[in-house]
Amino acid sequence: MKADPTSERTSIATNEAQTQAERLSAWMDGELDAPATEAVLRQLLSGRHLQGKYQSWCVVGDALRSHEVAAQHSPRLCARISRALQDEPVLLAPRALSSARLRHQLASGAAVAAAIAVVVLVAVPLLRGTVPSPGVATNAVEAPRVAPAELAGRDTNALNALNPVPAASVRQPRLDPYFQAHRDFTAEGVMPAAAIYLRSGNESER
Amino acid sequence: MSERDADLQLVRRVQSGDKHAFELLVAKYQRRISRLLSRMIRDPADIEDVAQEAFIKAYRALPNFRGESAFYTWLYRIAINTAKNHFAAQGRRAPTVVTSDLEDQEGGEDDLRLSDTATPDSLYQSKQVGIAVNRAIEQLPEDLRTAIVLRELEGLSYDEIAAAMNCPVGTVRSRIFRAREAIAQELRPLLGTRKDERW
Repeated sequence: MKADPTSERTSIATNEAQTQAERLSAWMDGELDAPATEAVLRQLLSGRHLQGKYQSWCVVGDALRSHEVAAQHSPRLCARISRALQDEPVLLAPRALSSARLRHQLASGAAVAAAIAVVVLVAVPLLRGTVPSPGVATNAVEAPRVAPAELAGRDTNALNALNPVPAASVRQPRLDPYFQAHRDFTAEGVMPAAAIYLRSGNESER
Repeated sequence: MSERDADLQLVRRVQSGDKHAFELLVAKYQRRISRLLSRMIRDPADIEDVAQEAFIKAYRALPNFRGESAFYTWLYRIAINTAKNHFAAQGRRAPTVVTSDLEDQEGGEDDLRLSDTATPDSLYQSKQVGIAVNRAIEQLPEDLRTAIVLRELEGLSYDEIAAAMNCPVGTVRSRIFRAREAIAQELRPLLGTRKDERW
């Protein structure tokens, strides 16, 4: 038996209308996701079919919550307001920002400005090599020299801070075999295959 | 997204020049505003005049609405001020509207006591609506009834209703839609709302 194309089309249209109406119902409850919301709003604002349903369902909600409120339903008042609105100018107001959103935007702007300031004041001089090295800082107050005897028992970092010494003078050749053995033992790092090629300049001299 | 966000979306549309969107807000809040005003103003004709004025004032002020409070809270304040101005213009003092009245209205949980301004007509109409709603609810299949009651009276989200009814969210959505349709059908003759048609 062949299906009647007209009734089939009617059936499809009915299903579509029902889906639209169901989406409208969900939107009224705030239960529709953003992409679907836009479509429902467009259909609602352009079609009398959905506007009638919207109005009826608003009455249903009021009636369920309060009979007294629902009893105030006045299609005449809605029509009066609708007519009065026709004499009103169309609003073309820029979207008013809520103060919370405004604060958020100001905070974001301040964070961006701070990040730029850091880049300009710190990173750029570093990249240009214009940051004065500790030895060059002639105007800086020199750290007090502390005698080695006084340093016994102090934290290593504190020692380094108090008595900055050239890196070359720190190295003690007698410890090299120890470091070499340690390095071989821990060669399973991120580049284990390359570890055997990693030698300090000092080792290659030997 | 919440129901409040749905209002805000309509507000944004109005602010972008779509007057129809404001008509939808009128359709939604006309009854609650009229009910609020009916507690202050006795004459039904005056109630309609003040309600219309309040809505038009709200429309004009909408560019300044920032969405910090709910749209209906903002609208109620305008309605109360409009009513006060109405009394001032008549050289009378406005009856005091206590804050709890406003909160009851805003919360949508208003099992309001009828004030002195209730007329025999409004009492009768209210009773008729009650009878029609109860009849409509009783006629609903149990799953539809439970879904619509949990949504409209308890204010539960679809997720919460789905959990309570042990069914998918899509089923909840469908049940609420069908319940609304059924109750609207029952209320149509009483309230003069017509199927698929605007006022």
